[in-house]
Amino acid sequence: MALKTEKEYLDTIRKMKPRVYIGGKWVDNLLDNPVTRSMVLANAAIYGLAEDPAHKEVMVASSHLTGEPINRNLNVARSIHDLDMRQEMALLTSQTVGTCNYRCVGCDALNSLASTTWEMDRDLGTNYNERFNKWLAYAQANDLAVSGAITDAKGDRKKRPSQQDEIDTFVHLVEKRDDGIVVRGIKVSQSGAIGSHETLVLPGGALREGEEKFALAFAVQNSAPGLSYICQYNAYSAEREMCDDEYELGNPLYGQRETSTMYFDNVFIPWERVFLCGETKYCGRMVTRFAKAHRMNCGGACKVGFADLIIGGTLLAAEYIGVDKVPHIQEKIIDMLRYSETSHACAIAAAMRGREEPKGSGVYLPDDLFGNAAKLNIAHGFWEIIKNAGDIGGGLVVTMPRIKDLEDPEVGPALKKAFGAVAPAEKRLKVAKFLQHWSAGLHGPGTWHGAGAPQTQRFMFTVLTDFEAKKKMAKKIMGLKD
Amino acid sequence: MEKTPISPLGEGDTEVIALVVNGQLWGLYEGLAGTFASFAYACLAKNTLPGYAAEDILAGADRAGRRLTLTIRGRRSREELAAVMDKALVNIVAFPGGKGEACCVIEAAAET
Repeated sequence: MALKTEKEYLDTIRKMKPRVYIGGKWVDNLLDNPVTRSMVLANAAIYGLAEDPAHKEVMVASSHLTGEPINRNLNVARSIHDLDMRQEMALLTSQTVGTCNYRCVGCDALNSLASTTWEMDRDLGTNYNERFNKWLAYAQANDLAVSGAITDAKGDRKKRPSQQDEIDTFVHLVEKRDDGIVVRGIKVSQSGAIGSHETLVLPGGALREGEEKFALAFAVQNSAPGLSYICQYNAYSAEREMCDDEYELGNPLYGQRETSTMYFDNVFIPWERVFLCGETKYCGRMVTRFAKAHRMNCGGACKVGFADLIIGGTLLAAEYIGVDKVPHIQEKIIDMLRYSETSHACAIAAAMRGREEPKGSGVYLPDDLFGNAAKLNIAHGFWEIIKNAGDIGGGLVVTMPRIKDLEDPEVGPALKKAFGAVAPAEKRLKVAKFLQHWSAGLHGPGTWHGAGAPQTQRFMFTVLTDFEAKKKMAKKIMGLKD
Repeated sequence: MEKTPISPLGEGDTEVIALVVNGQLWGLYEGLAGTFASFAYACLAKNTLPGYAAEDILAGADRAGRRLTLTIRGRRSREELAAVMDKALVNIVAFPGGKGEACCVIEAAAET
């Protein structure tokens, strides 16, 4: 069965017991802890989307390995259409869960691996691509939830990995055995591994000769002994743990975005799951290809889905106090749309201008410049969007009491008077809480850094732009001689 | 682009693992090749079962080629032992099922 249902995914996750730590305690069952449950339910909803005939075109692809229908999260893009549907999936999943599609990083990692392992086999005569395809065929056949881990802890940024005082700040090779390798080290800011079956681990950046032990790409089973997850913990985690009714929360079912620090303490990886081991020359391009895909998807289209939700909430907030027809309110809504739709357009352009990379591999990757434009635009635009949401939502977004306080016999009647307007107080508070979730939560910095901080995209602009050609054009039309 | 199958899973690409509980076959599990090696490393080098990091569950483990013999702590019925092993195998991403001959065996028994 190539496509798992939401229920089938949850059935396997009920049995999965990765070593997960959150807020001072170890998690016995992912579905019993309110914070980890929100991550798992978000993943389940992504499985559910693939079951819905209305979303089949976006969520279901055909495996190039077997011809079977597969979840697009496990698809290697083989055409412009595949790229376009991939970015549409990023949009749809964000609109549906209002948090990460936790299979997204894995999807972009596997596209980078498909491309780079093919190139390595061609250049070096290795068999990484064959191995990778077998792993992928297995993942597709079982519709595994696959996450991705890229960012090393990195330590002192002035030093190379091997110069670090603490070598575990980079995932590295400890031992090569007949049957596999043993790895240790730390990956950070990892989205959703705890509720996935496997994680694809890629190098965190380009490496040089002499840094072979850090040149690793592999798939790891998420409950492999030696692997631990230390989850993020913040005010939203505490609020979710403390509240007695999730209806009170900004995103009741799916939460904020849940990440963890992954600690590999001598974890065994069988050779069948190793896709790069020591080939430093290919690490940079492996990461670059991942980034190319991820900036179109996570950086661009995904945040447009978030923007749609924020704009929807903001429209309701305006309507509920009777200002929805006021010109400056409408102007601010249009500004929010301008940022989000421009980013969506960039993501579509990145897909449409995508190309096979490398030639002959059959793997399609998005256009680099437009993907970077999508991400850079929304990184800045998102702050403007949440600023306007806060502006139109009003002070209530951060000064509101609990929704259930409306039912308190002593203070409830006063609160209903205070916050009732065109709509009753409960609706206003519900929308205010939703906007608080976005504008005063984790998504601002998350959107800034996800798929790489904007400085990276600025650097890519300088690399990808032909500045001399632009000067030449300007000179020509001015009639300016050299 | 034409979608032509280029590398479907063939023989040897997956492993069928026979789960034997208290000396009798309980069922077959299938995982990607290398799954048995992962499971054996967990038991022999980490002294635990996949998915049981929080529990001191493994009393003993011994490997002879493609056969792994495990002693699970506590008095447990055959069904309880099978449930422990099922969870451990799923945690190493092997699932019930599998066609053909098993290429490796995991044998579990409770402490006596």
